[in-house]
Amino acid sequence: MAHILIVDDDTQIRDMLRQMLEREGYQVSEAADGDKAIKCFREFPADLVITDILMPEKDGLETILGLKREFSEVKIIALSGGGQVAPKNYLLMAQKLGAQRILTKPVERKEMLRAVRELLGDKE
Amino acid sequence: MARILIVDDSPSAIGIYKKMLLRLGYDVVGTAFSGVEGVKQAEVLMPDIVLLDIVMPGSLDGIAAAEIMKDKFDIPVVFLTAYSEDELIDRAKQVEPLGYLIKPFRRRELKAAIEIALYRREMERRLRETDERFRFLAETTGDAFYQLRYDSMTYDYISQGIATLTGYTPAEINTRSFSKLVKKVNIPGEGDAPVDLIIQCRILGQVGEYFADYLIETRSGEMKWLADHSFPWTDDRGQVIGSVGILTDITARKKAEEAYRESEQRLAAVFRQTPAMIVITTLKEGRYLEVNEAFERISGYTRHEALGKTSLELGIYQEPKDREDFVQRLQDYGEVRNYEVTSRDRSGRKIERLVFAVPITYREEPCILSASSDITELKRAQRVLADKQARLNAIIDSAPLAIWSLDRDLCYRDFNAAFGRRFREITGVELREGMRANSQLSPGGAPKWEEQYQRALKGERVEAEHAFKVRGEDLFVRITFGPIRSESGEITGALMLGQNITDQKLAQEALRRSEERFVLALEATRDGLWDWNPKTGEVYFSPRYYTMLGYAPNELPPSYDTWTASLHPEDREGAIQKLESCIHGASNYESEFRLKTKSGEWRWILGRGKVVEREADGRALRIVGTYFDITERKESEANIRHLNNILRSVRRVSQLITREKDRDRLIANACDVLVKNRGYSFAWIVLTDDRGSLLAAAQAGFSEDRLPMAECLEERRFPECVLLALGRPGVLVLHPAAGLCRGCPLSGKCGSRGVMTSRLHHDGVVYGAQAVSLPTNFVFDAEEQELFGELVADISYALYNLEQENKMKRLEAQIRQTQKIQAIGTLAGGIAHDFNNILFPIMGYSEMTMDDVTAGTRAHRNLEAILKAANRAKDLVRQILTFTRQTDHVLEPLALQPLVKESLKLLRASLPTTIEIRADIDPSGGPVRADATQIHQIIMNLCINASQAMAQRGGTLKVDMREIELDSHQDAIRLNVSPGKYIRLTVSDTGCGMEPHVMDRIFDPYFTTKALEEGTGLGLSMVHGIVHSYSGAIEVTSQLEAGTTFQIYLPIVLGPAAVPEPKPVSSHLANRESILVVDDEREVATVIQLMLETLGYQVTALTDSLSALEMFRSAPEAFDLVITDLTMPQLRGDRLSRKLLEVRPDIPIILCTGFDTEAVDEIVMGAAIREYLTKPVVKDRLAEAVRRVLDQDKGK
Repeated sequence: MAHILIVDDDTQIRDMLRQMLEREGYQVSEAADGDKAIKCFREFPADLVITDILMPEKDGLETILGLKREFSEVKIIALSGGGQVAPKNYLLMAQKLGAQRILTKPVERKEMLRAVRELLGDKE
Repeated sequence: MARILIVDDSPSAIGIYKKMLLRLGYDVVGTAFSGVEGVKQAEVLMPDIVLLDIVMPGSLDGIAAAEIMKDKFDIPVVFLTAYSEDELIDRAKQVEPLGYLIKPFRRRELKAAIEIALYRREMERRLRETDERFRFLAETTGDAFYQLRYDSMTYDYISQGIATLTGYTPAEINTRSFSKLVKKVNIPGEGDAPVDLIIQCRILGQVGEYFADYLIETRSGEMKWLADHSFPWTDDRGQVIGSVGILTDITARKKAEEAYRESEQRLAAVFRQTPAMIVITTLKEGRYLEVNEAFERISGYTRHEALGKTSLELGIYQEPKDREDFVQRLQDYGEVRNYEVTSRDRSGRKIERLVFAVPITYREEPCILSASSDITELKRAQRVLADKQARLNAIIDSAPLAIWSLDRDLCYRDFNAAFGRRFREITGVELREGMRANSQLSPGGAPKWEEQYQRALKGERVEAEHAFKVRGEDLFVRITFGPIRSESGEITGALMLGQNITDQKLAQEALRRSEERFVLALEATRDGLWDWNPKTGEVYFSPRYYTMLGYAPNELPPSYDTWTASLHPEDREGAIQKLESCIHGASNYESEFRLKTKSGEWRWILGRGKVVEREADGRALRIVGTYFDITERKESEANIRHLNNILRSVRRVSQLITREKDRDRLIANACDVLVKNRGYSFAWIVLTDDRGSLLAAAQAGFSEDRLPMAECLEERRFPECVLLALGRPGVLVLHPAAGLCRGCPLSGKCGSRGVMTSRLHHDGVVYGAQAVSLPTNFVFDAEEQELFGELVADISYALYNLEQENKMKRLEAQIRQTQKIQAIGTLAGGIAHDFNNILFPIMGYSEMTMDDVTAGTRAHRNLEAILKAANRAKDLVRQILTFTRQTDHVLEPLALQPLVKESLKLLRASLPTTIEIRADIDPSGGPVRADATQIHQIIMNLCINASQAMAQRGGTLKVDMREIELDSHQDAIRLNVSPGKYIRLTVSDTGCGMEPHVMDRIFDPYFTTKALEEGTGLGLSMVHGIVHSYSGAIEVTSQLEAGTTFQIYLPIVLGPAAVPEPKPVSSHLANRESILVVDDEREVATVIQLMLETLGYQVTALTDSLSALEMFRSAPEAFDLVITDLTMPQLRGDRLSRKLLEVRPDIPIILCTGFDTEAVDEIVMGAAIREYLTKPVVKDRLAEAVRRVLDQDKGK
């Protein structure tokens, strides 16, 4: 079963996503920021990383960069809820940095799962 | 070296001698073989010694030759002889040879003989010289030398001088005869004594020296003093055998001594008895060494009391420091003269002394000889005199008269202060005694002065008047010149007294002028003259009296009744009363009244008169006076009063307009003021809008006649005068006679003089018109019109100000609105992220739970409701973000026309058929910098609002778009935009319209008139926000039940319009410039690198600022731009920037920072950094900033 790493500083979102994905049978790990995510990935590489953009310490863009540098094959979905600056910019940037999918919070379940399945398709 | 001559008859002997002499070192100067030859040789050679053979052949033997040599040439001889016979030796002795040598002799003997001879010769020479000297002295001086032998009591020798002293020759004098001459003997220590040789002998024996003075009577009977000074004369054994001495004439000295003694005595007497106080004191302490009787008398101290005491001990000086001063002067000048000092006598009485002193040496001590006289009385007298003089001077100086005197040479001598002052005032020169009196006092008038002075000097008394100019004013002086006579009656000078008669003169002059003036006045006056005798009723009227009333002289009978008949009925009583009061008391008469002219007009007359004669009972007998026509003055007085009233009105209006901020009250009060201050009989103001419709009106002064005007205005009909004024600038005067007022409801109410009107306008804007009327007796002259013009300008300006203020208020409201929206936007943007994060789990959990719950149950339906609400919340967040421009819109030049058409197409489908859409889109309008989506939102919002307003009744939606020019200042100000070209989009409906209070709030966020489900209340706020972000403006007008119109103005930009499709960051493409990126966080550096590389730049990214600096230093020209983080270890970004700029001052730098922009500003400015970016860095902004900096750099 595919392994998914969720990176978000919001515990509620992590919990909700974990439940959503476990229900579908995925193995789920979580990290509260980019540094922890990279550390976690090294120990237990994931098939897919779902990361938030705006996080304290190491933000999503940096996390994507760090992961891509170390593990060039990693699949990434970037999520953002918007903020001070136009949210679309961050997501576009994340896409440029190598995120395969970008989604705007809040994301409907079926949209979320569709993106996950598309990326992990053959592993289903 | 002695020179020797050898004389011998034997040549061989000569040879031997010569050889011996030469060997002994003598010089043999010659040889001779005979006496004759020897003498000849000696005469020529003059040798020191001659060696002479005694026995020689020839006429002269040695002895004879020696005799000649000795006598004639004084050359000494040493005899050489082989004989020693006594006879020969004796003969040889006679010539006193210097020596003998007996032949044969040895060399040694020769030497001894020669040396002894030379010595003897030298001794003899010296003795001879001494002897000669003594003899010369003894025989030539007036003194007498003597040598007295005691045993025989005879003079062994007495010199020739005795003859001079006594008149007796040495031969005639002897001790006895000398004793007889001596009349008196004076021996020091012995006193007077007889001439006694025993005494002399005794003194010589005891003292070894003897002095005595003798008074002798000479042969001629003359008395002489001789001084005898003698020494003992001893024999070989030391026994005193007599005395040697000298007698000297000391008569002169004795006489001098005598005279001196006598003088001394006389001096002492003078010293003692002189009336001046003479003292000798020590210089040092002032101790008295000598004082005279005068001192005793004046000081009160006796000589015994004073001597040995100091002047200070005796308290002679009143001020001890006076002595110090006195001594100092003495030392400084070598003497003291006329030194005045105050002393005290023994009793303490004050004594003034005048002192003379010189330094002397007395008893071998530096002393002061001083003589002083008592001048106490003199001083007192002097003081009295000086006081008297001063008093006299004061009297003279304080005299108002100028007093001065001249000497015979016409030079100023004495003068008082008054003259000195006048002199200075007139000439500018300080007068000094001795100055010559020339033309200074009156330039050009010198001869007159001189002549008057000269006459005074000749003894005449002259009086003359002189005129001067002092500081431009006249000064007249009467001067009395008189002689000054000495006691002997001789004229020594002239004395002048000058008296100021200016006032007198001016008074005379004034009198003269006034008389002259009177004559002139009589000739030139416009006054009519009258002369009335109240008793007889006789009157005289001057011709002018008649002509000023239009009559020929004497055309009317000269009577009192003539006057009363022509008086104005209103004035008659008062005028007569005033005149009659003069008859019974008042001496002066003045009255104003009107008189009728021949043509029937009234003239104002000022009558003035004076009672010149009265009867004994006081009744006036004769009154004389004048009539003066003051009609013009009276008229202008009234005019001035009126203008003053108007001016007062103007002032009140000025005050009013600064105070009154309400338009209607302003015009009403203005009218009141104009009328109440009696400037105008009525005033009214009409205000119109820019289309000429009535806005407001006010009036004053019509009272009950107001109604027709109010009616007229209510019907929006303006009187002709107002229409005329509105049509043209300037003040307009309308006379009823011109016929313009015909048909006017106010006709006839405005007064017979008509009205004066003007439009109210300022800065090209017409606000309305104002009209006034004047009281009946005034005319609308130029001055009136000018004042009215000012009044109108003031009121216009006040209206303009009011309008400006209102505009400002509206603008402020608009600005407040924008700020409110912006504040809400910022807040919304801030919470959007968190809000979405919250929504996400709500939605997620809801969806998952719905899986767990059977569909169709209540729980499932509830979950659906939660999900629906969450979705609404999600949409709301998106809308808020849009409305606050938090979404990423790219503004670019855009042609709006196709966008509008596109949007209208969409609308048509959704609007009900009851609504007709009329679009008028001018395709020629220029592009606007905008975002297509936002433009679409604007159109949709406005059109949907419009359609909703017409939902019930249907109607027309009009959309109009065209390019316009906002060139008028007013429009631009009203809209708060810069003047220029704009696209104006007008959306209007024919719907229900809005209440004003609704219109005020339509742009407020969340304000809505719709049902909760229908709208968010953000639509118009969003439109407002977008329009303002495009530097445009939005205006709304609405009328209830008539419709609402929105007008949007968007500024046109230059340049070609883009295709109306959003296109990302295409304008920031790179030109392969090289950029150095420095950030200590590798990821950030990489992100930026990636971003820039995708934009087409060449990028070098480093994480260490020191390496970056090093790299830059090694190749500063390799980079076009540096982008650096601010917070870095080791070398902060701002410091790195500074160092980079040191290497290459033109290198553009962009600073990235995680901080707030304001906090970093200072640092940025300090390091002259071009741009700064806040983290996280967004690609668009990065691209923009990089492009801007590089283009800016290229632009240079």
